[in-house]
Amino acid sequence: MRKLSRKERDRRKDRAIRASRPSARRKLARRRGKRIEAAGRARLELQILLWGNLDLIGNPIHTRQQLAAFESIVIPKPLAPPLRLFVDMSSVESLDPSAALYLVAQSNRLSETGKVNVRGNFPRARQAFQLLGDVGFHKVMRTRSATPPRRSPDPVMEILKGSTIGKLDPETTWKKLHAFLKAQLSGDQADAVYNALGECIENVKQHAFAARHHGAWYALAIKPDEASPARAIVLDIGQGISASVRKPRFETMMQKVVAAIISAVKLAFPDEELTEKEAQELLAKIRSDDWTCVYLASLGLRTQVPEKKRGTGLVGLRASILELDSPGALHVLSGSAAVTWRRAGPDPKQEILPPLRGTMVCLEFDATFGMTGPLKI
Amino acid sequence: MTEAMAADEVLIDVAGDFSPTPGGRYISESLYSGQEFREKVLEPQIAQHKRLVIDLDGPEGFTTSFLEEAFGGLVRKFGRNVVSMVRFIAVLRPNRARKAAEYMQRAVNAATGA
Repeated sequence: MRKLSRKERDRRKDRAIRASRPSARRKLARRRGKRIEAAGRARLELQILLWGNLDLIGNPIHTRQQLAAFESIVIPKPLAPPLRLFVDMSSVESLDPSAALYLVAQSNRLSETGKVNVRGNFPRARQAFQLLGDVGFHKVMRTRSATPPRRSPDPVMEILKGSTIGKLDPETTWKKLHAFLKAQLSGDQADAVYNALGECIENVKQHAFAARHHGAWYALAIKPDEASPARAIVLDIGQGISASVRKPRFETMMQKVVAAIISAVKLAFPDEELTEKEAQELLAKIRSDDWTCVYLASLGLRTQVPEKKRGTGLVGLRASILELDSPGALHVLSGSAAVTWRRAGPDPKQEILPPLRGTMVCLEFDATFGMTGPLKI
Repeated sequence: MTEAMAADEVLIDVAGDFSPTPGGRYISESLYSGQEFREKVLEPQIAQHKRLVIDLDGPEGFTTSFLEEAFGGLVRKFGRNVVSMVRFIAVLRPNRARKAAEYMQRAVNAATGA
């Protein structure tokens, strides 16, 4: 019989231990000096169930309530085992690109921590299934499905992801999306899209994340068809417009007010315990509301930036929609606010919605150009 | 490059002389920024007392920040008289010329408190 080398003996021993009990596997891990996740140890597993019609612009309350579940996920600490997140989308009946983009952004944010494994299934509804394929959701979420959605051969939308690190290069960022859309639009509409993409992406870089923090932005261009408008959407999962335009002194003052209220509640109702969640809700109510911040920012009336020449981004976007010859709209979604400006439409109405992290700016144009514009004449 | 139109007039084609894809406001934040365009293309001509005819038709588009920084910035640097030294042409997209002129006027208004 051939005498085994020491190395071979060790290898066989390891293999035998691996095939044995979980406790033996942990012992092996310790022997190797490695910290691996022990088998048999309970892994955290969470599930998010999404259902119905998900549309951040057309069906905001239902959609925000569901998508807010991503914000409730607590990222495990560095030494803790990773969290498994299962996103069940089988009951999603229809999906709007705005909601699909938000799903991509939130799933990416969690996956990129390295501490959350995002898994899930896909909607049974055909439109929602294909839309997730077009925005590349199958690259973000692991699935056991044998036939995950794929990008259509003739896609009607183009998605782009970028980072706030480094200088912005128009050639590799908004030019690509602008080129994807411009043949479908009139000259002034195409100019408005160029402005919207450039301005919003630059705004994300400057304002969306707190000082010395970086993050990602997502942009989506959607070609129009007979039923839906052309759209350009820019999204970030940052601090929101109201946090970036509020003055730091105001925030400090608000913190003190909240602390005083919590003390007063404890004094007045010693048996009632004010939970952290309740305190946060209280803070959200006391703060100057998001809607007013977004509304005033899009009129250029409220900005934290000391330079007077800045803060022109949303104002310019609003102007580009209001000055168009064809119908169009600008939707600004941030925190609990959704402000919509329409050409020849009434002023936005105040509506308080369930809060959603980040900011989404969506420019949309009526899809009539292809039928009436100069290209067809 | 730039093509002389009259003795003291210079045509600047933004797409040809600078970039077909103008960027954001500052050099520190974006490539092909409004600040870069102003400092590298506009200011040297203004410093030589040339009158500028700026063709805005060529680029894919402009951001508000680019226009504000390039043309509003020119007013902030050289004063309100610079407005009479700059003329915009945009035959295909007249709105671009209107907006650029508007940003210069706003900078004049901000400077004079109007």
